[in-house]
Amino acid sequence: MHLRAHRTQAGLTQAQLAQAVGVSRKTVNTIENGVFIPSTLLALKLARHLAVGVEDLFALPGGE
Amino acid sequence: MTPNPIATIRLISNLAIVAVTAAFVLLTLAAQVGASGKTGVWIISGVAITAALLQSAAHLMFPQTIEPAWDEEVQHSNRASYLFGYWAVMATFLTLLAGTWAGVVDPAMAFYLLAPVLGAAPCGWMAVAALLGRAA
Repeated sequence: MHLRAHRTQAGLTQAQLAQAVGVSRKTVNTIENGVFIPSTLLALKLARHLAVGVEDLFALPGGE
Repeated sequence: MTPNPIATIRLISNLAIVAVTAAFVLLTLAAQVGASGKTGVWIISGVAITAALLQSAAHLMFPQTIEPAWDEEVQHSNRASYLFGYWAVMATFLTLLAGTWAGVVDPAMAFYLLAPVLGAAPCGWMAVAALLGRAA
């Protein structure tokens, strides 16, 4: 999970990113911590808002 | 505690329903008063209906917070709560059925105890999910 790195690089707080994509701050937090796996739609929204590709934010476990 | 008013009221509602239901069931069992009919229905239903009205009012008062309050993680937890409720009722039903067959549980009381589990189990799941940060 590289969401946290890209978010901080963009200078956004969890709350700001959450508001931008229409979810709660806690959802962003659980995604960053790998507790919750987002849907494709939400992953695309996150990627678009951070101006990166989805694969820049998420990766298969073990680098498969 | 979450700053989202809808999520906050939902959490308080779920905790209230679980607390009242659990207290009522424990009181019923401890006092061995048996099925008390409409008294329990009025108390538990009153809390549940009040909670529903409060949540509805929160949705009307804070429409801008509906989307994050019902985001996909919350919906995931909500679906899981109903699944948990189903299995909780199934387990309770089988336990009470065994107790009834063994003659240690009154059939009327067994039936009476199923409804609180049905009502409280999903609420309990959602409350725990919220406290763990998995439901807004």
